[in-house]
Amino acid sequence: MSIGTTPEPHAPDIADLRRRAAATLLRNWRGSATVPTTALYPHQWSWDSAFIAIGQAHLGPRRAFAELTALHGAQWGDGRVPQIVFNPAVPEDAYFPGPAFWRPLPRHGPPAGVSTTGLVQPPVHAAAVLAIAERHPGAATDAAVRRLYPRLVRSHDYLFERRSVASGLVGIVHPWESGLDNSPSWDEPLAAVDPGLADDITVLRRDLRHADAGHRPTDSDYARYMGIVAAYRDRRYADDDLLGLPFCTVDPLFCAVLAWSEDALASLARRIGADPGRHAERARELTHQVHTRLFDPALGCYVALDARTGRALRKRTVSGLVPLLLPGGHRAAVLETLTGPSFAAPGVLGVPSYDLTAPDADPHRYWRGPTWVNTTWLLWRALLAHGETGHAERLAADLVHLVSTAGFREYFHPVTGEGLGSDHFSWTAALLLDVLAREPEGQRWQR
Amino acid sequence: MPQWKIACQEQLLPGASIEQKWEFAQSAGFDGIELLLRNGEAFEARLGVLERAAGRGVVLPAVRLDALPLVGDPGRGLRQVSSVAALGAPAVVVPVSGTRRVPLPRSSTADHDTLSDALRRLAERAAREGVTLCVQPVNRYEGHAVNTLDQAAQLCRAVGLPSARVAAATFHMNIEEADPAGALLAAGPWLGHVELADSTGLEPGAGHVDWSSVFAALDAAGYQGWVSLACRLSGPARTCLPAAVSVLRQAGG
Repeated sequence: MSIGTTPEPHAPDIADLRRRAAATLLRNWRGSATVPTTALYPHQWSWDSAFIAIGQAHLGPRRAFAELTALHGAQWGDGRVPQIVFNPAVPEDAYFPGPAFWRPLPRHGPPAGVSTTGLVQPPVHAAAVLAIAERHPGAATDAAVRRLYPRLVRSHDYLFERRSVASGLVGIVHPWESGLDNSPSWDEPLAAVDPGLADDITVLRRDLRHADAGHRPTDSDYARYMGIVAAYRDRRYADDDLLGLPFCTVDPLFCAVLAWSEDALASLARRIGADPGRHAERARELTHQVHTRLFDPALGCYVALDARTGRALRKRTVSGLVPLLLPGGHRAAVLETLTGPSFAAPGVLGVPSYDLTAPDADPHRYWRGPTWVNTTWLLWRALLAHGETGHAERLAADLVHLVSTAGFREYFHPVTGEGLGSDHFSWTAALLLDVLAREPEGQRWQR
Repeated sequence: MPQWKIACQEQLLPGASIEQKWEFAQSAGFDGIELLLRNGEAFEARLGVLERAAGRGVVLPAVRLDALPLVGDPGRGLRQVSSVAALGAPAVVVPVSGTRRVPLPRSSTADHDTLSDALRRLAERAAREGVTLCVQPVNRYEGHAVNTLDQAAQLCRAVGLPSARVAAATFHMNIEEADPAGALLAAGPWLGHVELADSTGLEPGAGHVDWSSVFAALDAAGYQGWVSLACRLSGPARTCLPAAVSVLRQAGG
């Protein structure tokens, strides 16, 4: 410490935090990939792995690439990268819905012997590969990028070609595909789904063994989730009649992340001598669609669309802020929302998952109010990209404060900072490593 | 990430005297020399030369006693531990290898008891002399009693003295540990020394050990001891050794 500075009271021990973050990732490693956390999520999750790889890149390139290589090794014949890759060594009943629920998987499904779900998750992967490659330039990285690039392209082709809805936007067919499972955006389309299994669902659920029921999606939501999966499964996960499925929406986070990752694909193509033009064009077009079709001026953010009814799902959620990742658009308005009373009232930590002034906000329940590290990290990245360093540093300091106070939790109460959901959560550790890598040790992060 | 101090075993370094070896070691980027005693070599006979070298600034962080008798007469082992202490080296590395030096397989309980009794005697002496006794697991083709870091940590727990620690060796771990980084992290509180060789038994870089994960695990475990090259070389020392240091430093070592 230089002369003249006074030690901050309760300043977090950054070196210790970094060590504990690394230890969390090392402990959750399962030989070829990382589990989100041991008890609640004992398999490999798609967008978790992308965030985890971004953190692993700070420990070394090999596991970072291995994580994404393992995920893409389960890629379906039609190009989709599955939401969950099941670990065959984990008992069927450790997670619900387990492998059996998703069967039969179709001929265009995963490689023989690999067991997955039939859904996708937000495609953060190309952006993650670019982040690893930029941190570890060299021949080994070029070789890894060459191996992954064609698979990333196929997964984006699948989304652009098979999931195209509402002329030019990309749709999701299950709330789980948004990554924000019980977001208030999905209340209206979910209400139209028959909750057939509702009576049995409590017995089948496994999440409630590891987390407080008040912090998780409700039974009624869960019953509808199962009904939507069953309908898609019974059509053999075919995408030729998306609007005929019980759920089909356009999500601003999903589309923005796809456009962002498509732009990363253009950079990756340049690195390996492939043609970046198609990627740049596709990124531009989707970005344009997001900005022109999903923005809601009255709410000051982007909103989801119900592709079946054509209705805008007018909720102010964190998903509607994530298009800030993209160039152009309604930057000033979104920035105002992000820093205004809905998401940044005095005392609020990080970016809450939902407008805290909304009457149906619930600061304890999953994606209906708590602060999550991954969405806060996406907005931190967006702010940095736009040169909004002051706002970015506030978010970074909040993340450090939340984790140093409550641990590597899955999500956090946005005001009290209480840790919620599971502990030893991999992406919380991974993205914290990324945030810590941006600042000289011990210089900031105090609130 | 911290940079650990990296030593090199003496036989790998070119030079006729320990001072010449030290000069080369420093030019190659090493911070110290690990001494190696083989085939019952009388350490006491070298002590005078080594003490003079240490007095001239040669850094000697560890002594590996390849021929430490864990059965039979305990006197020689005790004298060797005292000699290491006289030299000022903080760690004595004891590989649990070779059927002549460790008990033949009878029952694992009997093995374990014999080993922990022998190690306790040495660890008691080590504690009095202010050095640590680091038990090194070796792979199944070179020894049967202690193959994994977890077994070595259990042995240290049975000995019950803070002077009894674990010496990890990446070559043996490459064979015995399903998750080398995870094993290092788990054994972290017991680690007293780390020896480095690649999967081939050659210098780091001449194999497929994931060095970044190794150092990430040592850092996460809060390990602050030495790491030491203990391997064979794939080519001339003058090129292989600086290249190995570079590989380790680039991987976060």
